[in-house]
Amino acid sequence: MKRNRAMLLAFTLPGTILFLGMFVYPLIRTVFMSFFSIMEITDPVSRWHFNGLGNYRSLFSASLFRQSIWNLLKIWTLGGLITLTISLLLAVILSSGIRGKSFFQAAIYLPNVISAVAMATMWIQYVFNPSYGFLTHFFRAVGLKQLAELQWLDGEHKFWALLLSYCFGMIGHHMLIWISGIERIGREYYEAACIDGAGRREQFFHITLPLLRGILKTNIVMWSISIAGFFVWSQLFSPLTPDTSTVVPMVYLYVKLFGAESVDAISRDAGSGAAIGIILSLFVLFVFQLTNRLLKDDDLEY
Amino acid sequence: MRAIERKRYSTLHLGRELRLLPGYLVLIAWVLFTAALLFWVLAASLSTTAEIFSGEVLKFPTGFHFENYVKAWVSSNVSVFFGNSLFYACVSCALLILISAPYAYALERFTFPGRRWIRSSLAAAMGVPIVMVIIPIYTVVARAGLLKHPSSNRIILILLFVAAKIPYTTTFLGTYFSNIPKSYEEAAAIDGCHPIETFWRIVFPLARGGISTVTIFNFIAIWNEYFLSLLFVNSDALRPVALGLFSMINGMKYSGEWAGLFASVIIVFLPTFILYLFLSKKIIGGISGGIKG
Amino acid sequence: MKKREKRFAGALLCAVLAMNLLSGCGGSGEQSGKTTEAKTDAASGEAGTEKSEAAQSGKGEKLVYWSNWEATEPQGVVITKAVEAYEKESGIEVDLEFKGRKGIKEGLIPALDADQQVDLFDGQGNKSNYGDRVIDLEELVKSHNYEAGTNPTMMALSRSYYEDGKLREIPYQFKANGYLYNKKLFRQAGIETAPKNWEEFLDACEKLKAAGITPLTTDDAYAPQAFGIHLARLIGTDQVKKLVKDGGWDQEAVLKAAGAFQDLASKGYFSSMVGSNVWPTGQNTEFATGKVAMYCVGTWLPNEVKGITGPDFEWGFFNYPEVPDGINGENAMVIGAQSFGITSKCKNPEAAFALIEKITRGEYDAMLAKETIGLPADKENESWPEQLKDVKPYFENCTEIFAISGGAENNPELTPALKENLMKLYAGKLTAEEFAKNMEAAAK
Repeated sequence: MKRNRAMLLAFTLPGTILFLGMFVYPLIRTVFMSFFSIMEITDPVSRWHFNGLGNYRSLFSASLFRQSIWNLLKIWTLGGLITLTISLLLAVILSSGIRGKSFFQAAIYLPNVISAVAMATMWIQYVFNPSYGFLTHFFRAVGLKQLAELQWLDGEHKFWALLLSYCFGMIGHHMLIWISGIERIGREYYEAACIDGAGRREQFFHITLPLLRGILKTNIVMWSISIAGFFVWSQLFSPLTPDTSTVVPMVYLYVKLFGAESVDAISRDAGSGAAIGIILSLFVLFVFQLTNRLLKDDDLEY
Repeated sequence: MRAIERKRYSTLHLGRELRLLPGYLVLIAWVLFTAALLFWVLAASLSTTAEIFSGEVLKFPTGFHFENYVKAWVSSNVSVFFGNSLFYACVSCALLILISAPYAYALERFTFPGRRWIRSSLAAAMGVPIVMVIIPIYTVVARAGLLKHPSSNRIILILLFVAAKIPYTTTFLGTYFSNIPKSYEEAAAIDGCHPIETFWRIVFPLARGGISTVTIFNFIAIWNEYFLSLLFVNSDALRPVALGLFSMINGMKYSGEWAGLFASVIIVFLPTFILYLFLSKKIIGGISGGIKG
Repeated sequence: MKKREKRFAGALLCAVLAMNLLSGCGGSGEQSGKTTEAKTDAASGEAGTEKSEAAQSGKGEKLVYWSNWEATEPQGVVITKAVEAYEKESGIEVDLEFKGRKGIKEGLIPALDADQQVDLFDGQGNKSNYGDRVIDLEELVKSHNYEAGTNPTMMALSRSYYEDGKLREIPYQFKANGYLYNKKLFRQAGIETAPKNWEEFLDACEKLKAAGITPLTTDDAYAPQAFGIHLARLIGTDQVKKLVKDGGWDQEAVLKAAGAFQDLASKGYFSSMVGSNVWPTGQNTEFATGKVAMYCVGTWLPNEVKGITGPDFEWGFFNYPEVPDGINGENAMVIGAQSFGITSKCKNPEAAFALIEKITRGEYDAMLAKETIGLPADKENESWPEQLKDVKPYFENCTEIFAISGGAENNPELTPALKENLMKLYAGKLTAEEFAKNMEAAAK
C-alpha cells in the first residue's frame, strides 16, 4: 500500500491532539498531584506541599476507603461473573434462530438507553420496596414467603440489591457485544459442524466459545472500565451520605474532592483524590494486562 | 441475506421451535420483568405523589394525571435539558466518527513510528476513570475563561465528550477495520484509487456495522453523561438530561414532586427509546450483513 | 412496509432536529446573544429566570448571584421575584444563576479560583471551608443595622463557624431538628401534650402502640439524628464531636444512648420496615402517609412531603426529649440555616448586601417562609407557617446549639458505619453492647 504523509497526518492528527489534551497531559499532572497534599482541585502549584506517599498511606489506613475497595472488588468479580454469563446465555439464545430476535434484543438492551439515575430510582422505589414492591408481590404470589419478606435494602442485603439491579442494566450491553461476536463467526462453521453431526451443545463449546475469546476479552475489559467508574448507582443507593455496604472509591473520592454534607470541619483533599484516581487506573491497567496475557488473540481467520 | 432470513422465518418447524422453548421462556420472562418496571414508572408518572407512596400506583384512584407531564416539560425545564442533550449527543457522535474512523484505520493499516505506542495507550486510556483527568482540565479550561460564555461552554463540553470517547471509539472501530480483508484496498489501489478515497468510499462503508454500533453506544453514553457536565456546565440553561434528573432528585428534599420526576423520566426516555427501536434494527443488519458481505 | 418505516424514521429524525432548533439549543448562533436567549426563555416558559446569557459585557453595574436552589423549587421562584424587584429598585443588573446544591458545592470554589466573577451565593450554613473566598460582613451588618432583626442565637451560630468569630455569612431559611409528629395519630392514641422528657416519650410510644399505631420510623440518611441528639443530651455536642473523631465508643454514655434505642426496638416501637428504609422510603411511605406517628428530622420535612400528606395533615413538633442524667435540656437543640456569602471577587459588596437584605427581610422573607413552609429569618415576620407553629417557642428559647445530629455526623469517614449500625440497632438486630463494639472497630 502506498504511504502518504499528508494523509497519515490528516487521519491521525485530530485524534492524537484530542487524546493528548484529554488524557496524557492531565494524567501526568494527576500523578504528580497524588504525591502532594493539596486542598482544592484548582489550587496552583505554589500551594502544593510535597507529601511523598502520604496520601496513599492515609488512604489505606482509612477503614472506609479499604471498605470501598473491597466493595469494588466484590462488584467486579461477582457482578462480572453474573453479567458475563447471563449475557452470553442470552446472546446464545438470541443467535439460535429464535423468532422476534430483534424485538427481544431491543427489549433486553433497553435499560441501557435509560439514564442510570432513572433506572436506579425505579429499582429502589419500586422493585425493592418492602410494602408494595415488585419482588414482595412476586414472591408472595409464587408462595415463597421467606423471600417475600426479605428486606432488600437493609444493611445485610443492600449490596446484593445494588449488584443485582446494576447487573440487570449492564447485561443488555454485554449481550450485544457477545452477539456481534457470535454473528461474526461465519455460518459455514456451523454448517460444517451440522454436516459433521454436531449437536447444539457441541457447537457451542467447540465452535462458539473458542472463537469468542477475543470478544470475551473485550467484554472483560469493558466491564472493568465501567466498574472503575462506578459512581452514580452507589450514590443513588445512599443518596445523602455514603454507606458502608455500597460505598465505592469514586464516592469516597467525591467526598474527598468536594467535602461532605453536614460537616463543620474541612475535609476536602484533592491530593488524596488524585491518589484514588491513580489507584483505580492501576486497577484497570492490571486487569487489562492480565486478560491480555491470559486470552491471547487467536490467529484464526474469520 | 434478508431474503434467506425471511424464508427461514416463514416456514414453521415445530420440532425446532420446541427445542427453542426454554430459550423463549427465559427471554419472555426477562422482557416481562422489564415491561413491569417501565409500566410502573409510566403508571407512577400518571399518578399523584401521594398515590405513589401509598402503593396505589396501579389503581389510579383519582384518574390519570397528565398535568405531571405538562409541569415537567414546561416548568421543570425538561424541554431545555432535552434539547441540550440531543444537541450535545448528535454533534459529538458525528465528530467522533469523523475523527475516530480515519484514526482507527490509520492505526490499523499504516505503519509509522509511535503507532504501537498510540494503540496501547488508547486502549489503556479507556480504563482511565474520567475523574482522574478532569482535575487539571478543569483548571486549564476555567482559567482560560472558557466557561463564562454559553457558546464557548457548549463547545468545550462537546470537545470533552468527543475527546473522552476517542479511545473507546477508535479501539472499537480498529477491531472492525482489522476484520476487513486487505484485498479490497489492494484491488482499489490497482484500479488507481487514492488511499483517502479508498478509505471513505470502500472501507468506511464496509465498517458501517461497527460504526452504527459504536455510534449507538456513544450516543447513549453522551445522552446520559453526568460527571463531565456536572463540572463543566456553568449555567442551568446548558444542562443535559442526566444532570437535570439528578438535580431534580436532589431537589426532592425541597419540592417533593415525585410524580413530576417520573413524568420527566418518561419524557427523557421516550425519544431515545423510539429512535433506538429503529437504530437497533440497523445495528442488527449491520452486524450480520456488514462484515462478511 | 420497509419504505414506509424508513420514511417514518426520517420524519421522526427531522421532527427531533426541529425540536432541538426550536428549543434554542443550536449553540452555533450564540453570537447573536439576545435572540437565542429569547428563544430559550420562550421554550422553557420561564421568562426572566435566565438572564445569565443576556449580558456578558453588560454596561453599568452587575452582580452575579449563584444560588443553590433550582429555578423551579419554591425557593427559586421566590428568589427570582425578589431579584426582579431589586433590579427594578436599584437599577443594578443581577445575573441570577440557579446552580443547584451540587453546582455550588462542586463548582463555586473552582470558579472563584479561576477568577470567574461571582459576587454572592447561597447554600448550606457554615461557609468556613471557603476560607478567604468569603468576606467579613461585620461592617456591612453594622451600617445596615441588620443584626437587630435576626434571632441572636442564629447570629451567634453564624459567627461561631469562624475562628476569629467574625461574621462571614447571613443566615436565612432557618431550620430546627427534632421530632416531627402526626397530631391526629397522637389524638387517636389519647396523647394530649407533646412529650418533654424521656419518660413521657416512652409513655407516648406505649400509648401509640396500644392504639395500633407504629410510633417511630426513620431512613438510613437520617438515622444518626435521633441517636446523635440523644448522646448530645448526655455528654454535650462537643464531646459527641470528639467521640466520632477520636473514638472511645466503649464509654458508658454510648452504651446508655444505644441502650435507650435497643429498648425502643425491643418494645416494638420502631416500624418493622425500619431496617431497609433507604431515604425517602420511610418518610414518604410510612410517615407522610399516616402509618407512623413520629420521625426525627428537620423542619424541612413538611415541605418535602406536602405532595403526599395533602393539606389535612396535622403537623406537630417537639424538641428532642430531655433524657435521664442528661446535662442539657429543652433550651439546647439542633438549629441551622441556609446562608448567603459575599465573595472576595465582589467589587460592590454594598450592592450585594442590599440584595441579601432584600431577600432575607420583610416581604420576600415572609413569602419565602410561606411558599417553602419554612422558618422566616426576619424577627418582624410573625407569620410562621401553620405546619411549624410548634417550633417557634423552642426556637426562640434556644440558647445552646447542637451540631447536626448532635455532632455525630462530623466525621464523614465514620458516618457510613454509624448509619449502618444504627439502622441495625433500630431494627433490633444489634444490642447496645454489639453496637458499641462495632463502632469501636469501625473507628480504628
